[in-house]
Amino acid sequence: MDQFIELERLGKSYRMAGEELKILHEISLSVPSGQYLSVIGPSGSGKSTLMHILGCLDVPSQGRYVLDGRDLTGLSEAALSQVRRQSIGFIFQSFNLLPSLNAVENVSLPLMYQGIPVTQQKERAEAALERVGLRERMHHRPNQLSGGQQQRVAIARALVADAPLILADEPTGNLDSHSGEEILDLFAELNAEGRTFLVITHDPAVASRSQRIVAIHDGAVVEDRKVTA
Amino acid sequence: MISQSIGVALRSVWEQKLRSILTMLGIIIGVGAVITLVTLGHGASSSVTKNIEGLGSNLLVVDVGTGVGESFGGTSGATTVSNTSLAPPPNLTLSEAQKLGNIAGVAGVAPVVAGSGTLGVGTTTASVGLVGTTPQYQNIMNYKLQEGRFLTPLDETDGENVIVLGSTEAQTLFGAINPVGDTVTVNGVPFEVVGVLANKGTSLGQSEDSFAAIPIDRAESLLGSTSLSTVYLSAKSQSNVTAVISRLDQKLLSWIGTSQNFSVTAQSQILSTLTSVQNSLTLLLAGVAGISLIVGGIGIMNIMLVSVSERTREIGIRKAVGASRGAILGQFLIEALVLSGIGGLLGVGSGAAASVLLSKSFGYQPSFHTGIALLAFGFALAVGLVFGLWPANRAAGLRPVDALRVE
Ligand SMILES: Nc1ncnc2c1ncn2[C@@H]1O[C@H](COP(=O)(O)OP(=O)(O)OP(=O)(O)O)[C@@H](O)[C@H]1O
Ligand SMILES: [Mg+2]
Repeated sequence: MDQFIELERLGKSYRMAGEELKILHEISLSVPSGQYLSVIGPSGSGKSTLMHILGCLDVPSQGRYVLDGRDLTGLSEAALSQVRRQSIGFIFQSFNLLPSLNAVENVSLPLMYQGIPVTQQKERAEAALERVGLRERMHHRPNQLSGGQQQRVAIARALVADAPLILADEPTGNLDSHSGEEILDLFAELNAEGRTFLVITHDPAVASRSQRIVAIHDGAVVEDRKVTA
Repeated sequence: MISQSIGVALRSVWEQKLRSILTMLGIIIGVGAVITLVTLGHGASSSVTKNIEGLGSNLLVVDVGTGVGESFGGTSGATTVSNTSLAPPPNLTLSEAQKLGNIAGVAGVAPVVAGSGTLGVGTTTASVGLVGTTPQYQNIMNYKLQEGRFLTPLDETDGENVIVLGSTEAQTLFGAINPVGDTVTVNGVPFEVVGVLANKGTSLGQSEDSFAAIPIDRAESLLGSTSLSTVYLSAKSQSNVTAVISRLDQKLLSWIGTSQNFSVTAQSQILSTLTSVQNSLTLLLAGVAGISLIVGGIGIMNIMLVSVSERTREIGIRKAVGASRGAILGQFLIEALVLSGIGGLLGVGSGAAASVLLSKSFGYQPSFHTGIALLAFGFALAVGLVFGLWPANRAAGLRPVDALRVE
């Protein structure tokens, strides 16, 4: 089967006060293209660390990371930023929108860094905002939007460059259950269009919306099961 | 992309208006000061040049007196004299002075016996500098007449008491009335006013219009002095001034005996000395202003560093959505350049305004030196670039994960 993500004995450690601190232990994981996967685990187990490595925001200390058939191990920061630009969309618990930019401008950012002309940036950003149901809120700044709306702006930003992989770290963590549900519905729709989703969560209800659940504990995979509807 | 980055930079400068202005202040002051000081320096030297040239073209001044040759002046190498006070007081007679006019290269000679006297018209009196001299004085010193005539050779021979008034004296004693033909008393002796000189202005801070000229023999008897203090000469051309000086030196040395008791000074020498003093002063001031530009640059660096650490999260977000190192570097560099560029423009504006205002109040020809403005502006940009580089590089070098984990 066509594996979109392949991790081979991936490890991450930090050196703290001369001591080696192992955060991730030999994680091996394969994710086929188009899968909707959730990663669960207690706080401090290394979920975010794993996501940062998958998102090329951080590099592993050991092991191999292959994305869409390309080995990313040992790539330069410049090459990694290109991978982020082309292949990955991020959604964070705290939304991470730029407060000084309005919705359209926030959503345009990935396109700006791809060097796409301004008029096209605007068109595509508006289309992405429409896709997440924020047509009416295009020129609002983050502080003029509710948490759920802000998260939808962030989703639009993750979509706008047609990234095949969406990484979400506790996407509903700061939202009430209703807006959380709306976000998860949106995830399901976007996943149905063929995007690969990896969602980190504490919440079993959130995890149950995915197709597969991987549980990690102390930096190691302790459970990996398919969700049966 | 670049134009969009400039837009982003302008926006963040605009969003922090007060901080941006304060940051730019150093650059504004620096650029403004460079432009103002250089302009004023130029204004000062050209007005000094004009003044000195107005004193008389190719003017040479011979001063005679104990010790005058030791100070500023253009005498040739010093002859050693063990004790000046033992030497007889130096003296130059009128006929000797006139003989200086025969030296090759000398066009005119005007010996001067100077002193002060009191002029009176009715009850009005004025204390003035009296200049006893000969007809050539007018040409050598570049005076024009407002009324009447200057001293003539006839005045020297026929012994009439005639006087030519400087424009200030004429104004003081007669007001708007034309005084030619009227009588003034000089230390009680009546003199007939034959002419009034045209206004010439000031030279090196001294009025050139406040004196009265009378024939030299009248001055000698009036002031009780037969020794000449100063002889004004004009050289035939600017180019042979140096040769004329050395001939004068030789002649005077043979009469007076020691070069310490006379000096020969050329106008052109004073001019070049003053010009070089002015130039180095201008350079010095511009250097001080330049330092303030560098201080302004450090201000920019300081604020940019603060801004980088405040915006660590923003940098992380931008990197997460695909910004390369170069894009972040560019963003912060452009921000530094926008700050220094706007600061530079404001500095050019305020410098130009200050130059015009101050030139006017100093009475200089107001002028604006585009070259200096461009140079100062370019320097401001360079300062922004240099001092923006470190903060920008620091921002660009942040690891995305570290930048994102910052709260
Ligand atoms: N730069 C770092 N240096 C040292 N230790 C780090 C660093 N970054 C993360 N860690 C450690 O790595 C471990 C895993 O952190 P991570 O953020 O991945 O946890 P998590 O599973 O996402 O937890 P949570 O559910 O609370 O978000 C933590 O113990 C954390 O202290
Ligand atoms: Mg986490």
